[in-house]
Formats: sequence, C-alpha cells, structure tokens
Amino acid sequence: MTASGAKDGGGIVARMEARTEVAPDRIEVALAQRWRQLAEAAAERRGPPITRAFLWNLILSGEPAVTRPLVDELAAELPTRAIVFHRLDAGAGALRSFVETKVSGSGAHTVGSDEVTIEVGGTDELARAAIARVPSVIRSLLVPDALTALVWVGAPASRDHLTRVFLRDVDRLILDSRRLPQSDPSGADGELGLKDMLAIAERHPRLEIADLAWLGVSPLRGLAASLFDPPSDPSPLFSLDEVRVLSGVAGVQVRALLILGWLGARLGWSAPRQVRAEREGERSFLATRADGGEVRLVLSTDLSGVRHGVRRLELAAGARRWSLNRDSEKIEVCSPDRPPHAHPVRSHTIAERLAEALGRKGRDEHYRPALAFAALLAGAVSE
Amino acid sequence: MDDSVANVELKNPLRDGLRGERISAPCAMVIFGASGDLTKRKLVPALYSLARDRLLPSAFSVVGVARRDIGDEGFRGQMKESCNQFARRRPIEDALWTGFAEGLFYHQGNFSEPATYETLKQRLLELDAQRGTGGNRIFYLSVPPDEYPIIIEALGKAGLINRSKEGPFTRVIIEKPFGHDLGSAQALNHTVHETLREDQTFRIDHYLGKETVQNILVFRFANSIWEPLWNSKYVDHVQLTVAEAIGVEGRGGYFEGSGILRDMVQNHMFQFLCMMAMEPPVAFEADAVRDEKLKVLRSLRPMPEDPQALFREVVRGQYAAGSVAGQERIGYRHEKGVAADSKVETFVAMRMYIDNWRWAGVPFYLRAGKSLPKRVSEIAIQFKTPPHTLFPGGQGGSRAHEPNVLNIRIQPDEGIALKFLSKVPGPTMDTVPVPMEFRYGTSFGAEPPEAYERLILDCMLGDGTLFTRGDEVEASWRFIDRIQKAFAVSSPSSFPNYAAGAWGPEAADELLARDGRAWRRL
Repeated sequence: MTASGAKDGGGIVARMEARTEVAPDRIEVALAQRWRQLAEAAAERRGPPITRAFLWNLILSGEPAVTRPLVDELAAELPTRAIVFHRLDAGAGALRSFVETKVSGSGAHTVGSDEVTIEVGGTDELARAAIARVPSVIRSLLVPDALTALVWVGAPASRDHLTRVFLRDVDRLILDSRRLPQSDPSGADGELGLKDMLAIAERHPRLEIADLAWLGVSPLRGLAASLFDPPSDPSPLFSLDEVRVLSGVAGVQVRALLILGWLGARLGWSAPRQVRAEREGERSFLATRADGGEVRLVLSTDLSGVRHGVRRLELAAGARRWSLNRDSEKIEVCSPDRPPHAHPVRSHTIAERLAEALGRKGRDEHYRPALAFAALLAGAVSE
Repeated sequence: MDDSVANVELKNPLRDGLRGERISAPCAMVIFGASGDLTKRKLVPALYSLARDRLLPSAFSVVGVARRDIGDEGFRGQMKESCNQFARRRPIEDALWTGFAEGLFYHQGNFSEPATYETLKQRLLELDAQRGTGGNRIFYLSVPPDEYPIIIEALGKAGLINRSKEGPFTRVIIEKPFGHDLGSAQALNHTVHETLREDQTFRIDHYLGKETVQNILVFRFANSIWEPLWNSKYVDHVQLTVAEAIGVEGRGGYFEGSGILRDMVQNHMFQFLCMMAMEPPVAFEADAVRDEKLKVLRSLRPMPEDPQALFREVVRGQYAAGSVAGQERIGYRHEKGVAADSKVETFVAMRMYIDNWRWAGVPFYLRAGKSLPKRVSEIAIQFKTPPHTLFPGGQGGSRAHEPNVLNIRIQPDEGIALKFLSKVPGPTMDTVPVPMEFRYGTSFGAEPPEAYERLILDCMLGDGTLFTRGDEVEASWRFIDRIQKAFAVSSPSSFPNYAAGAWGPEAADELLARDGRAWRRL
C-alpha cells in the first residue's frame, strides 16, 4: 500500500492508496477491500471511524489532465463516487479500469470518496467495441439510492454517447455553457449551441440542469434584486426602457445572455428581436414588456478590465438608472434610492462551482426560463 | 413570517426568483455589550461568515454599543482580531473584510443614560442615509440580564422601537438567561411586552441554532418510519445528556448565581426535550412549532412539593478535585469567584414524565454536569426489547440481548446512530449489537454553520421558529422553580460528591438503578 497527500482547495486530500488497475468486474470488490483496510487501520489508531457515505454518483468524461485534479478537489468537499471515462487516442483498444480511494478532512469531518477511471485507447474496431461496453461498466458501478449527476467537463456534449445513454437516468446534468464550442471569434456560432441545451431541457422536463455559467451570475442576480427590495419601490422594473450589459470576455456571451434572459423571464418580456446596434461592437435587441411597451437590450464588450461575462449591468426607466459594476474585488451597487455601496466578490475554482452545482443552487427552477429567453436572444431558436 | 419579508417576496419579481436565497431586507444591527466576549467570539464572527456566504442584506451595518471609548476604528480593529481568531473560516479574507468592516460602527454610551439612546437614534438615522438600511433595526442585548429591562425601556422611550407592523421593522434579540425563576421571567416578559410585540422579541437559545437540533424535527417528521415507534408502546425510556468536560472556566462568579439547573436544564435541555417529544406541528412556522413545544412543557409532571419526595426524582452534585482526560482539575469550591462552602450544583440528574397520550409512563432521564469525563450532548431513545427471545446470547455475552437505541448526537461528532442486534458470522445464531451510523461530517463534509449564523439570519428574516416564546420560558421556569426551591431549603450535606472526571455522584446511578436501568456509557 502506498500513501500520498496533496493540499488542494479546502482540505487535505489524502490519497490513501495509489491508483491501481483492476479488472472491470473486480472494481467493487477492490474498493470494498480498500475501505475495509482503511476502517481497520483507523480502528487500530483509535481514530474516527472511516466510512463511505456517498451523496452522489458522478459520471464524467474528459481529458485526464482536467478531470483528475477536479475530482481530487471535489473529493475534499463532498463524498462522491466519481466514475470518469477517459478516451485516449493512443493505446491498444482495450478497456482498462483503475480505482482510487480518497479520504479528506479530519476528525468528525472525514469525507471518503471513490474514483473509478475507465480508459479506452486507440481508434480501431477493438476500441469502438470497448467504448460500446463503457455504459454497462458505469451502470454496474452506480451506488444505489445515491443521486447521480452527469458532468460535462469542458464543452457541452449534447451528442456525446454517454449523454445519449445516461441523460434519461441521471438526476442532474452539470455543464458550463461558457464552453460552447465556437469557430467564429465573436462567439455567435457558439451561442447557437444554446439550442441543443434548450432541446435537452424540453425533452427532459424533470432533469435538473446546473449550468456553472448561471451559478456565476447568481451574486449579480441577488444584488440586482436587492435594488428593488423594500423600502425601494419595485414598480420601475415593469417600465424599464433599457438594459445594458457590458461583458469583459470575448467570444460566447452566455453569462450576459443568461442575465438578460433572467430579467426577461422574471419581468414577462416577449418577442425579443435583434435590431441594428447604435455602436460598432454592440448587439441590440428590442423586447416587448408585459405592459406592451418596448425595452432595448444592449450587449457590449470591453476586454480592458476584469474578465467576467457581466462586468456591468445597467437598468434604466426614464431618467432613473440602477447599475452594478464589477471589478476584481467588488461589485459596486448604485441606485437612485440609496447611497452606493460595494459588495466583495471572490473567484471560485471549478471544483467549488461543481460542489455548488451539486447542492441546492444546482436545482434552480428559474434557469430554464432564463435559458429559453437567452436562446431567443442568441437567435438559436425562434419564438 | 414577518410582513416586510412577505412584501419582499410578493412585490419584487426579481426577489421572487431568488426566494430560496433567504436574504433579508436592509437593516442595521445594534449590539449592546459590544466589548463583551459573546460579541467577539460569536456575534461578529457569525456576521462575517454570513457576509462571506453572501447572506447579509445588500445594505447592512452593525453598531456596537458599550461604555469604553474606542471609536469606529478601534472597534473594527478589535473585531478583525476576533474574526481572525474565531470565524468559522480562517484566516479572514482581506477583500471581504474591507467591505464588511466599512459597515461596522461603534457608539460609546452608558446603558442607563437616556442620552445614549438619543445619540444612538441620531447615529442610526445618519447610517440609514449613508448605507441605505431603511430604518430597519435589530437590537441585540448581549449584556448581563439585569440590564435587559433598562435597555428595552430606554429603547422604547427614545422612540427607537416601531411597534407597528407597518413601516420599518424593529426586532430585539435577548440572550439567555431569560429570568432566574418564574417570577423574574414573568416580570421580564411584562417589561418586554410593554414595549414590543411578541413577534418582535427573539429570545435566543443558541442550541436551537445547531444543525443537529434542527435535524431532530426533520428526522422525526420528514421520515415516515420513526413516528409509529415514537411513543410509549415502543419506547422504554429516553436519556438526555449534556456533559461538559470543562469546569466553570473563570465564570465561577456567574455560576454561583445560576448552577447547572438554571444554566443548562431550564433552557437547552428543555428545548431538546421539546423537540424530541412534541407532536407534529401543522407547519414549520414559528407559532405552530412553539405551540407544540409549549404543550410538552405543560405536560411535564410537576415534581413533588415535598423535598424528600423530590430528591427521589432529582440528584444534584458538585465536583471535587480530580482529573479530566489526564489533566488535573481543582474542585469547584476552589474555582475563582466560588464560595469555599458553596452549595451550588455543578451536576444534576432527574427522572421526569410527560403526562400525555404519547408518552404516558415513559421515564425521561436527564443529566447535565461540568467536569465530567468528556464533552457530549445527546438524546438516546431506548426501545423496548422484543417480547420473546428467539436467539441465544452465545458469543455476544451480556450484550447479546441489548435493546435498540436510537442515539441523536448533538455534539461533538454530530450524527445519528441506531444500535441493533446482528448475527455474528459463523455457524451459530449468536447476536451482538452493532451500530448503523449517520455522521454529518462524513456525509456533508465541511463544518456546518455556527448556531449564531443561523439564528441571526432568522431574526433578520423575522422568522422566530428557532427562538423561544415568552410562554415557553414561563412554562419551563414553572417546572424548574419547584426543584430550585427544594435545592434552596435543603442544604446538600455531601458536597462535593463527585470527583472531576467521573460521571457524577453515585446517587445518579442509583436513580436509574431503582428502575432497573443504567445510564448509557458514553
């Protein structure tokens, strides 16, 4: 037995045993044996009992360089069984499997997680046959009664074969719509990918979809809402005539579209259509408000400041303006009703976002309407 | 739910979309006793943690009030040090602290002087304008109990309390102890109600903010398998334990005026008892939950009036010198601030009955003490044994027929364990008890929020579910008063009667032994 440790994120991930290769039909046996050894060792040390209490099965596929640190860091946050599929170009086409057990935290807060890696290398017929067997291996490894999430690490993979097989069986789909693949630097073609996500949402009405891009705008949503909390009057929200979003990133503008989508869905806007922009580099839309009036939505980009999909959100109703301005440390909140004030912000690792997505925030009924409106703005779908 | 919160949800369509976020309306929190230990160790670190978790309202400020003249910057410096020492996630994040500290202010004043409140009022109005706190106020009384009525009356006279349900909200959080007997609790309730509505009054018992205590209600009422067993038909008895390994830790002067009965049983333990024994509330709402808790307290069989009979139900103790976890410990009477002939109890155990349909005839054994072998708080429900024994003891020996025990661990190592009998692997049908465990730490990883975080947030939201209502406090004092009076009239001749590091006096074991039972070995 070998032991290694790495400090990562919020806790110590102590890899109690090195990753070892086992035959696919021996994975459960190998894991059970490892946990028994760990429990016995803990009992000998008179330390806290070490047990597995998985809250989630995670099915991930992606590059090993991305998935391995991600799963390690997540293991320090949540007890999970992560089943990771790696598709390798090189190799002999055989299906290989590896197991790893992780214990993190200390004392009563000791979290145990499993990681099972399934690798298929090569591109030949043998490899294709092995890939076809992967879902059956994954299915045999799902911990009964634990929730299951399919995680798209990297670009949304709506046509991926694991997606096709498992989407019907999982409780939650976790993705990052900022990673929609694009070929055009403007990202406009990537945004058309919202169509596939919307299609999945419509085909699977009970599937919980947690979009890391959406989680990233949740502080902005909270602060935007706070502008209209008592004692402020919320009625101007229903007569907004302009909303401007300034993005600090290039390419796909999903966060900006989602925040506009959220406003549109919450305020009952309809029939959004793109119109000629007033300035170069801007995108302009008109939407019909619930009272029949029009609201102009303007999306622009400035790459000179903080890199966030929504650097500035500005709402206007007549001469009154409300705004949220983000820099690397804070979001400044400005309202005609109150003195300006600032809220600190902090960046999150992907694993922290993933842990959030597996929690309550990953079950947000307001995402779908926001996504639907965002897809309309992107021209990915029509009303 | 408070009206202002309902307004937030109904009128602001953007907030409606964030209903699950539990964000309060803007407000200012005034802490009386800002230089005290509670403020440093718990309150401001809890507020910082709320800020870190983005649970504070968009516009928020804290005004610490105390006698010393330290100014805003002095207060911020002290609080930064406290947060670095006591916040749940340390060290504090500089960027977050900077924003948080901008909302910290200090107001020097004497609590008994009207001028303090006049100037405070002016300061709060200025902060409303500067920070957009909208006139909403929470006053936190983190002061000695004799100052509660002084501050509450002064707040009322200074016009700092909006008693109306219209307009900005005013809420007052009152620390324990709420009274020292029934009469004083009634008097304090009277003072409170002259100035505040009951739903503006938040009597805090921090044990109710603990995840494990709240989980008792979820465990009982969100699962269907326990409720059919949760009654006198299946439950043999219940044991509630709050054991502390520490002594009085320099608080001898305070403890001399309270004793463990007032310090622990009347508040924390009775809250556990209520959560464990209550009927299902009609909703998880403040009054629905508190109505059911009150019924439990009203169903407690009063202790006998005759002290001799009472001392058959109640055992008291006081620790002598000894050792706890290998550390030498002086006796209680040698602690600083404690009388050399002190009669104050540092341990109490009792047998109680809840005279209602569900719990008729089921004894509830409570024990609480200081300088016990370890720190542990738990509720253990021991079920009756099967009516007929099918399997021999064999390898399990004396443990082969142990009853099922459901153990709810409040602290430390928070969790729930069910002990049941299992067959020992092998050719015989030998049985041995095994635990089936749920551990918060193992299942949920990170440290749960501090009790004060949850309770302060609830107060901001106007949710009094996890706070104690005035009639509950009076009902618990009504029961405790009789014991307290017996303690007062019958001097204990045997004090000190247990060594630090023991599980209390022998009489505590005899209390259960008379019923053919024993305390759980913890």
